Amino acid sequence: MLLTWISACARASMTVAALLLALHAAAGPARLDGIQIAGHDPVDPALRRFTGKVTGVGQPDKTDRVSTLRFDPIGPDMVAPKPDELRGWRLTFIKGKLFGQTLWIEGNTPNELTVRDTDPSLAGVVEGDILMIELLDPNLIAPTSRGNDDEPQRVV
Amino acid sequence: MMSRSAWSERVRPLLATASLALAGAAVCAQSVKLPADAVDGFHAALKRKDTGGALSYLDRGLVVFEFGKMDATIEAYALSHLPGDIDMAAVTDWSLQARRLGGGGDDRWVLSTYRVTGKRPDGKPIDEVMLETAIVRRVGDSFRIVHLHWSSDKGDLQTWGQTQRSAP
Repeated sequence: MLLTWISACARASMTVAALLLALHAAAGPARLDGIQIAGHDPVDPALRRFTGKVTGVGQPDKTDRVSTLRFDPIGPDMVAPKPDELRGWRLTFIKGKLFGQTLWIEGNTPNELTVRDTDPSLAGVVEGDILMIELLDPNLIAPTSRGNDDEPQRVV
Repeated sequence: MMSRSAWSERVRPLLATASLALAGAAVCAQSVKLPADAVDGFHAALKRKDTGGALSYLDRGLVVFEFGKMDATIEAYALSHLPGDIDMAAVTDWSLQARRLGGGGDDRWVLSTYRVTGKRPDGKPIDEVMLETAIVRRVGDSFRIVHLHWSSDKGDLQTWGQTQRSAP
C-alpha cells in the first residue's frame, strides 16, 4: 500500500515536472524566473544591468519617429529605476522586432525611457518586447560597437 | 550667416541618417563567411561585453545546452544566460586548444576545446577545459550559430555553478 502511494506520488511529481518543462519551453523569458537554466559558473557581474518588459510605446513625432517607450522591470531582484538613473546606459532589445539592436538612453522615469535623437526610431516595438539595459565602462567597449557615439558615457 | 539653431535643425536629420547608416553597418559587419568565424566572433563579442554584437552571431532559432540544462529559445538565452556568459568572459581567458570542422552545404559543425583560466569570486582559480559543440547555419551569405553545447572537464565546478544559479 505504501509502495503504491509512493509510486503514485512519484508519477504525479514527474507529471508536474514535465508540465513545468513544457511551460518553460513554450514560455517567454519573463516566465523563466526560478527555473534552472543553463549557464557558466557565476562570477561577479561585469556590467550593471536592468531588464525590462515593454508595456507601451510613445507617440511618433512630426517625422514619425518614436523615441520613448514604457516598461516594467522583469527578472529577479529587479526594481524600477530612479529618474535618469539609466541616462547614458546601453539598451539592447532581446525580444521583438528590434532584436539585437543597440540604442542609448537619453533619460528615464521609473517606467518610461527616451532614447537619443541620433538613435533609430522605436517604431515597431510592441508590448511584451524585452530590454536589456547595461551600464558600460566606456573604456572597455570597442568604439565600433557603439555606432557613432563620440560622447563619453554619462554616468549618474 | 546661419543661426546655431537653424544649423542644428539642418544637421540633425543628417546626423540621424548617418547614425542609422552606421548602425546598419555595424549589423552588416557581422556578415560571417566562414563557420568558425561565427564562433570566434561570438566569443570576441562576449569578451568586449557587446551584447548586441554577440546576438548578431546567433540564429533566431538558437537552442543552448550546457551542463545538462538548456535555453530553449534565443530570448531565454539572451535574458537569462548571455549576461552570465559576458560576466564569465570578462574574468577568464579562453585559449583555443583544438578545433574540428565538418558538415556540408548550409549546415556545418564546429567542435572546439578551450583551456579556460581565471578566478572565481571566492578567489579560487578557474582552470578547466571547456568543450564546445557549435552548429552553424548559412542564411544568405552569413553563418549564424543555431546550437551551442558546452561541457567542462571539472564536474565539481559544474555542480557548484548550477547550485548557485538555481538558488532563488
